[in-house]
Amino acid sequence: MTAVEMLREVPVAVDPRGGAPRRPARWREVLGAALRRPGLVLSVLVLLLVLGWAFAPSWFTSGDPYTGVPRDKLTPPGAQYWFGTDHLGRDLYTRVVYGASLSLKATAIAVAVGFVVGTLVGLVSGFVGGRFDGVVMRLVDVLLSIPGLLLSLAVVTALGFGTVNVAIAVGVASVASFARVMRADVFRARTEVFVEAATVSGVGRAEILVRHVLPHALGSVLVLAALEFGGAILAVSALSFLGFGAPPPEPEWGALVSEGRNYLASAWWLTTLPGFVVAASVLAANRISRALDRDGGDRW
Amino acid sequence: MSRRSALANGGYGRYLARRAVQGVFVLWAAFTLSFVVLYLMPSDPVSIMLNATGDGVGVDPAAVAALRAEHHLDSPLVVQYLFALGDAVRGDFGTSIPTGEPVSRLIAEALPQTLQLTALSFVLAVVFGGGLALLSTSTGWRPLRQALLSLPPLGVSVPTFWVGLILLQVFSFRAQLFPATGNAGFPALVLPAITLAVPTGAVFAQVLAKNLAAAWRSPYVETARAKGLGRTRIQLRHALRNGSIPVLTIIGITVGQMLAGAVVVETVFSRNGIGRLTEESVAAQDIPVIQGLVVLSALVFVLVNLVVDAIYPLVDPRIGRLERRRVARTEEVPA
Amino acid sequence: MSKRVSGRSAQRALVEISGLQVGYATRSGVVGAVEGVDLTVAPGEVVALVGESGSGKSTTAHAVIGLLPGSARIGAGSIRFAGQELVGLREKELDAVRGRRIGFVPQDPGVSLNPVKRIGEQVAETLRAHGLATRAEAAEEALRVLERAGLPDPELRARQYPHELSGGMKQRVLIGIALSCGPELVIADEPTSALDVTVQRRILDHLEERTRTTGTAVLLITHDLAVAADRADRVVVLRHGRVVEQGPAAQVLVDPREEYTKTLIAAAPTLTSPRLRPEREPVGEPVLQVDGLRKQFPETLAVDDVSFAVRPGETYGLIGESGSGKSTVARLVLRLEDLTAGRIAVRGADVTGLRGRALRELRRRVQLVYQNPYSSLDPRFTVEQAVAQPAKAFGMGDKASRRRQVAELLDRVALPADTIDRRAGELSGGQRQRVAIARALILEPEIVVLDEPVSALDVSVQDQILRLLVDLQTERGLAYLFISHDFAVVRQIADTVGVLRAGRLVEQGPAERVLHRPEHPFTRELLDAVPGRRPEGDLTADVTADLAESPGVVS
Repeated sequence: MTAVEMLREVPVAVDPRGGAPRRPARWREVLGAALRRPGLVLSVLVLLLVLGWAFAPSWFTSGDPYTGVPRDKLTPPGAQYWFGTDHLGRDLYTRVVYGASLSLKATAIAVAVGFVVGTLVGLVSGFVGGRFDGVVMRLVDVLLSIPGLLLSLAVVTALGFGTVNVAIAVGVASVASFARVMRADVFRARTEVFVEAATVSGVGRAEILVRHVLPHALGSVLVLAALEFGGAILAVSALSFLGFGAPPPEPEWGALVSEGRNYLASAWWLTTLPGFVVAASVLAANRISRALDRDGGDRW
Repeated sequence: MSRRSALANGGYGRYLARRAVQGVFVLWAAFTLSFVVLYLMPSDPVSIMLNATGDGVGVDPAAVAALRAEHHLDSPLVVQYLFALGDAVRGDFGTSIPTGEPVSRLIAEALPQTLQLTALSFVLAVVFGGGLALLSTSTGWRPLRQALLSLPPLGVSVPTFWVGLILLQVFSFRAQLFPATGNAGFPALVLPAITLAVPTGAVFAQVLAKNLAAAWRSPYVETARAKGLGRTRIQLRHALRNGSIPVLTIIGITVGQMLAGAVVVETVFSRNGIGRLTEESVAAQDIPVIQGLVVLSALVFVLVNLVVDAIYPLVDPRIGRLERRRVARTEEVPA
Repeated sequence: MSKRVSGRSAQRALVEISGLQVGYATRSGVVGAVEGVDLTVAPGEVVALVGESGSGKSTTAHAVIGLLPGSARIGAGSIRFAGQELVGLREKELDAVRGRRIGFVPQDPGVSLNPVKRIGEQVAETLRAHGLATRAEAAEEALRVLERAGLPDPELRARQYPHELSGGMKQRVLIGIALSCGPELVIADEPTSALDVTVQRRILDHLEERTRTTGTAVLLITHDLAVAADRADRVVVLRHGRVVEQGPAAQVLVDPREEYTKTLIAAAPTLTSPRLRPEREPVGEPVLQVDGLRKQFPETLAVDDVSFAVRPGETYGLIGESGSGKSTVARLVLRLEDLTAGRIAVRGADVTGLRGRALRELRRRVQLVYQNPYSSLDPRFTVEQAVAQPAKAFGMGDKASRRRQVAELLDRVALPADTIDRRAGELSGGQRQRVAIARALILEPEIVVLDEPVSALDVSVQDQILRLLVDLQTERGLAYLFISHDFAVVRQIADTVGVLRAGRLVEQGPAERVLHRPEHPFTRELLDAVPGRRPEGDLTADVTADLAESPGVVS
């Protein structure tokens, strides 16, 4: 007997009135659950902060990301310049804050491209099935055999450089995994007993797709989207680091780290701090996606 | 097709042959795909190519014509594609636009450096990723387990270029233990290999730890515990073998990702290699080289997976031994 | 059966559990699974721990051998084994007891052997771990263990991997491992519930024979009272983590003192318990007529030339073991699977080739209830949505009238009125099965296919659902195609019985005739394997009479 089966031996506490738990109790539960998972709470806060930077940078800094104070160039982090300054005396913190909108915009586009295209392909392929599905999935396998970063680089070569093109390229590289997960879920949902039960009840194909298959399939694709969010931040910043993103004065996160490379020996903060922001954002996004996955898994 | 069903239709040899044919298909498809992306995009490849060499102003019509002729761009698309495919089968991916050198030679020159790098990081990833997973599932001390298990998610979240630069700062500039750049000898290989091993090792650790934990929850481990076997013995003899089967299946994809990761790592450490070649070719929009590199990565993926497929039945007896199984069925006695 | 002498109260107990409390840590605090269990097992004695799901029987057994899952905590109590306290022992100290002095036979042999290790190694490592043999000796000894386990050609078996053995053979290996070090006690946790009845009987016989010759005590965990009656000297009935009743098997099963035990015994179907409704001679034109049904899957012929008819108000019981093709027959009849050959007629009209709209119309007349009510209802749906769905699909009535209809049906299947707005996920297994039945009835079908409708449920719930089905049939004149692996269940309600083996119908006829005068040897084998009627005797004899007469139950 496995542990899971053993847990079934636990008598289920049944509410005698048979109703849903009362509201306040639920809120307290949520709060309690949050306190038991401090990492998750921190992740949400980090992501909210970064989103805040992206949407309203002027609330977080009064400086100008493009013009610096030459006299203060290469100042280490301190009370005046939290993240220090670069070789032109620009405030690094301000540049990171303003860079958030570029980097997150690219990330959002990338995830959207992968999600929309991949999910549609997977949905149609999984629901139509047969030969069509075979061909589509072979194509997906081939896409998966090429490493994502290399595929993105190939697309960037064809499309040209720039933030949006980098975003599209990163999105294209994730289409295959979205398609695969979506199709697998559609397949799994299609073989659920309750879906067959609906067929036996005389429910039509379209209604089964909308009422039973889609709601069950969407869950894990959304989890993947959350996971891809972290992956896309990484990929976008890597391409930007390589110099294929927005041209120089723009404070894209990857580009900031790249600019700092020339001062590696003398100004550690120029590479370390923007890189840290990237790492923290990815870590937060991944942590949240894992939490979504766990909760989703519990529901069934 | 799953390995199991592939094997159900024939013996080991036919199983491998089928896998090899599938591999050839993947190569062809990767070539076709890269052709479509690189040559059929709305942008005009010739102007991209010439723009990359010059400044794009006052393009020489003769050069345009020569380039068009060389790439059969005046012919219908299908003809262009068939010419390119025919050349590729013979290992000819054309010539680099800025340097005029054959793509195949550029790749062949860069490959050994990158192979050294990926081989060393692969070993590091397996040793440290596997060790971490084993240690975290072996220890009964909760804080240590939690600490160890929090490392892999960290490893997959940190940007490779950032890890590389921090290692450079600490070990080359501060401690001056390793050279900062270049290809000279083993010391120059250490930091890049560690950098490249971080994400891969983290993935190995995550997958292995997850599957070891699943094995520990499985009924056959309960049987082993009921036999009175000790923890270590169960870990090594029962959990590890089952837990590493899924790791085997992701090796193909992982090696491909290391190849792609080399783009960033070789740039950070200014090493020559496939990654550096990729970075320079993208910067110069050197389409023939890029296509050659895409096909190369597909080839690596196919070869690694062939090796994995070949050893898979040896690790998981449920795949294979078909004849024996048939014998067992016919001999089956009422229990 | 020759039960072992028990009641040797003067003798010192081998296992002595007192005041045992085990709880599981969950998100909402610790939930008790075992709440103060007292229990003893004398040397050489067979004690059956009987209970429904959630009774704590498995948890108790796992506590004895120190194999509780990580979230479980022993809150209080003591477990003494041959005078030694096991609670609080360190893993290393427990390892010396497990396998060596206490053997363990798991529930599902299919997943309880390591899939990537040879059988021989898995047997030998037990001996080596306890220092009973060197590497070379262990390999030799393993062959003897396999031979004693009744496996032909032990050399071959030792070289094989688990997937190359059948379920019964694997369970023999596991019993062999459990006994290999000559333990004083064997804990068998539902050792046959994952196996077919015919295999179940052989395995239990084997276990009994082996432990009797070695004088090993057995703690047998089972949900099946009949198995307990057949095999145990003493029976301990558990409910909600507490001992309800315990005593010699004959006394507890023949003359139970506690109300709960009485209900359990009454609910458990046997070959001799009264039918839920009298058998009727089927009359009239068949509602469902199946001729020469055949289904070829790529690798197997699942159904081969099956013909039968179901008449109005009749219950046709289709019996078979796993892999016999009985569920495939159900799916073919419902046209969920395309048949390879044959003809299916509903009220004389051929429905074999129906497609599209016409096939949908067929659904109004033929409905299905699945085995597992946990998977057959969409967890996102409310009960109202689930039950009303077929009516909605056929555009019957408006929302309000459908809700009224659902409410009436829920009342009819004896569900409280407030169930209508709850989600399937909040209901118990029995309640869900009632919902599933209500859904099958909303279209007022003529035929309902019942695919193992009670086998996922506890006996007491099982009995209630069977009674409900019988009432509904009488009231609505439904024809049932009742598919089951359990002869005891089928004979309670079927008028006609068909026995399916490897896709072929080996025998069919009136239920009582098949039961009393089976013509095919396989039917006889199936009947003999049904637990709860040992020793071999008159089929009509009452099970309780069996027990009272069986010698040596009480010394």
